[in-house]
Amino acid sequence: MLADVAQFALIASTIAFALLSIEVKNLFHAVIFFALMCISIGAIFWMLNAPYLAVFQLAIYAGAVVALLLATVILTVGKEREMK
Amino acid sequence: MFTPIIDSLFIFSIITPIIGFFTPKKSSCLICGAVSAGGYIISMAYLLHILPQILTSPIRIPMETSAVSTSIVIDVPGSLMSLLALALGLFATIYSMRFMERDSGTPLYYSLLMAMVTGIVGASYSGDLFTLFIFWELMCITSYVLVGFRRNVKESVEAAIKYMLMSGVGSATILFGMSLLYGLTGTLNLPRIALSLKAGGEPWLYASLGMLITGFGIKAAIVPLHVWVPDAYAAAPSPISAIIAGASTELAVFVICKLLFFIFPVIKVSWMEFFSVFAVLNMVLGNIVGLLQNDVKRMLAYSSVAHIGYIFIGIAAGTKLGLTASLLHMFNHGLMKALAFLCMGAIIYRIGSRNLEDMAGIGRRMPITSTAFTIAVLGLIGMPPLNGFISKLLLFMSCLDSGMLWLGILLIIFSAVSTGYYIRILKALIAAPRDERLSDVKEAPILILIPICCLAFLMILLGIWPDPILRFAEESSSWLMEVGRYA
Amino acid sequence: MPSFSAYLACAIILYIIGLYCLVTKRNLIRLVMGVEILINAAHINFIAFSAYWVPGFIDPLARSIVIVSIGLAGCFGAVLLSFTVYAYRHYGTLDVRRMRELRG
Repeated sequence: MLADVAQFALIASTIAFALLSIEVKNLFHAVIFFALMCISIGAIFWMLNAPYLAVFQLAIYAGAVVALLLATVILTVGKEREMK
Repeated sequence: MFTPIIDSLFIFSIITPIIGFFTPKKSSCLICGAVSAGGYIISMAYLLHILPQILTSPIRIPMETSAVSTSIVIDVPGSLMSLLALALGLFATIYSMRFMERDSGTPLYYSLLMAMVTGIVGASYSGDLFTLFIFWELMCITSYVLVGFRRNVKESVEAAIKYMLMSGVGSATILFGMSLLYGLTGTLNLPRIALSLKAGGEPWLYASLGMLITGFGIKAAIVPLHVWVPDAYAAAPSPISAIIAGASTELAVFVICKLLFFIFPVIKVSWMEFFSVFAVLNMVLGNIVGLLQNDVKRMLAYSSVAHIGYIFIGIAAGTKLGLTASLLHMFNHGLMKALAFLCMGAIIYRIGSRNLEDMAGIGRRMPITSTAFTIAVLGLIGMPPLNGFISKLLLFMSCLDSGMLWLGILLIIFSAVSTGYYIRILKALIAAPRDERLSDVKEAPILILIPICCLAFLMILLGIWPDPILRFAEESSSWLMEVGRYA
Repeated sequence: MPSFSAYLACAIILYIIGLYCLVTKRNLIRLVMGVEILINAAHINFIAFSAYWVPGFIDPLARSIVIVSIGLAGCFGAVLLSFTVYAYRHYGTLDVRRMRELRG
């Protein structure tokens, strides 16, 4: 029962974070929401009996790719400008 | 590991930058080029050595079926594609030894080029969708870096970004389509999917087919998805344009053929009509927009789109003759388009501009290059003693054979329309020079001329004596149409 | 366990969100995130199919495909982001619609 609710909540949060990450105006916030989406996808993988995969997802996506995105945001736009 | 064909390419692509680290800066381009050319020669020699054995039965690696059952199958259709890719890779490497001498970072360039050819060879030999995806992604990612190799030039970066975004969407769509196929059948092994899909035409099969064709079609320059083609072909360095136009696009069409004839013969009637629509759209758009170009490389890119349309005519016919004609035209078009891009690169190397007007009268200054360019253009139009004529003739015959006469007539009409822009290139080559700008232009250096002459010679040879390549294409199509021979 | 259609619907909705992002947004970094969302949708599809085929067990084939694909998507993101930095240095902006040197 609890597992059911948790899985539905994870699916809903994945979709919500994906939508937020592409709609928010500030680029930094968009990258943060993208990271949260990747973490919730990792949690989905955990609940579906694939723990090894969840660790990979967290390590590469929520680790390396988000770090690269943040590095790019810092190198190109900076803090003060807000782009669409 | 795998077969020596793919192994030697992998090993050389790792050795080349290591050797490049130790050579002095000035000659690193030549030495690394020579080392990587050795890799291609070893690979091609092994392929030609085991070719008679493949004609009777394909080689499966690994030998016994394991739990995961991924495999590389060395068979005849894959050998057609990989022979083209290896030959073009060898020629592009020899060409780049002189062409890329002013760029920095050339040992890594050779390594990336070899990795891209490895991807093409591996993808054409793949026995199931997992291996196909891995080698496909290897080819794609290395080609992104190679298209944007001159990163200090504005238009290279822009072309590379456009190409990457569209092709990335293509890869994601391919992955999604593969997951739908996996859900329907529980396996990704190509012959097993074909055997377990015999019954049923559920809507998810159509969705999966649509996604796979869209994904591979972005790379294969099907019409609404072709917008990256002119920019990427024009802004890439010329040997890279030659490989992408001659091998990578052809690989995408080859994989579409393989998937259609292996997995989806159940719904055969639907996709034949779709492909005739795609063929007509490609021909119309490629030829008509090609007439409006002034930049020769963009013109050649639109002509590539048109030729992919001709190849789709053979697939739309759906018979064995149609598939033979398509495979033969794939091979011939790869050779012709690569020769055209390499000649254009030699001209750019000497005069530094891609424009048609700046090229006027260069035929007198660079006779060998212009002769080879003329041979390439005549082959693309479809003139008799060259190989383009034979494959176009076979395409027309396959249209008559399967009752789609209107496609054959459109093929002839649009070949005639395409003559309009090919003649402009020929006119620019043989016209009198306009002013003194071209007075100090010499013939291209010998290392650039060797691949150009080899390709021109191959084109004439395959035009006068088409028998071996025609038998090769017939064997390939007979293997492709019967999945049962693989299982 | 929620029914299987929930995961399939989640994957399809994520795919549509990714496509929407690529079609309407202009900032290059947002477009990169859109492609990554597309790839994640395909991964969820693989694992969901494999989990419901035989309950309680994930097919090793599906797991290996997703692991390899996560690695490849990381490579793709790295290459795309490094080209983004070069584009910013050339053009001064990250707006895709202003990068129009090649026309025709």
